[in-house]
Amino acid sequence: MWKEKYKIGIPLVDQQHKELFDRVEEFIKALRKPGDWTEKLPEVKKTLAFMQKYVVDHFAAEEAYQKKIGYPDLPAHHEIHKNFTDYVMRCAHDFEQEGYPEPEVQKFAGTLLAWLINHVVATDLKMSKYVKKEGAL
Amino acid sequence: MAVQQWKDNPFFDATKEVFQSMLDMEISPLPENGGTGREENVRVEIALVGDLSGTVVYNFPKSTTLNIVKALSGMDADQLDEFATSMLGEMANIISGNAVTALSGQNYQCDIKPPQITVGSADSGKYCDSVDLQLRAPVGEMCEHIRLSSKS
Repeated sequence: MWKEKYKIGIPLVDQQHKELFDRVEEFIKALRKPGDWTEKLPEVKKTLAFMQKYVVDHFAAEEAYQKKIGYPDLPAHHEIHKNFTDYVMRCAHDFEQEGYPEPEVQKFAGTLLAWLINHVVATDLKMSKYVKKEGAL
Repeated sequence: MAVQQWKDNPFFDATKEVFQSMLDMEISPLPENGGTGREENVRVEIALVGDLSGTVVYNFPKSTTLNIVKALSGMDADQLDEFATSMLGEMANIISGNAVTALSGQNYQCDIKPPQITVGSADSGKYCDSVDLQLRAPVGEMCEHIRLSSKS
């Protein structure tokens, strides 16, 4: 799932993005593999929790880095992270309340992957361009 | 109609940009005005409100959808399930969001509503009073129907 083309040229961030994609991949593989949903559910829950925690940790680390380099778009970037974290948390909460309905979890996974790819190749790339321009790496 | 067919059309420009950045693919206009064939379609409708209001409908034929899912996830897909359709819904959401950002640079302040996704029969190719974009990419063909009016 991770592709070299997703690298934005900031080693610390690239390493964390790869880790994030790896965790998203584990989650998606758990829910896309053939078999009965009930049997897959323990692994789906485990990989979802694992991925969810990393989303929060990565966004915090990325924002700490942006603060350190004086990135001017930090407030807007923080808002995007916050909205997405809220979405992930709300979905995870609803899944728990509703017994992890398969169509809803599949829907969440599709949205998550498309959002994440776009966030890395578009929004995070802007940060990389700033870093290169300012020599802040 | 507040947008042109191709030149300076923020939805066409945003689609090109998103296909380039997410899929590494170029898109181009289709010369024929014929819809997206007889295949089942994923239809994503996004409403705009504000200085411009109306809808943008994205039609992705089944083969295009499954090719995009494979390109993004690296996994084979053979049906239009929630995973596949929501991925296309989010792509349409991203394209619309980028188009709305471009429109704000032309002094049109708009917001988009969450995508409404349905799976249905083939796209008819022409909507009443809309700007229709028939597009081709290496993953297949797709259509966009833009029906917007400005506040007067």
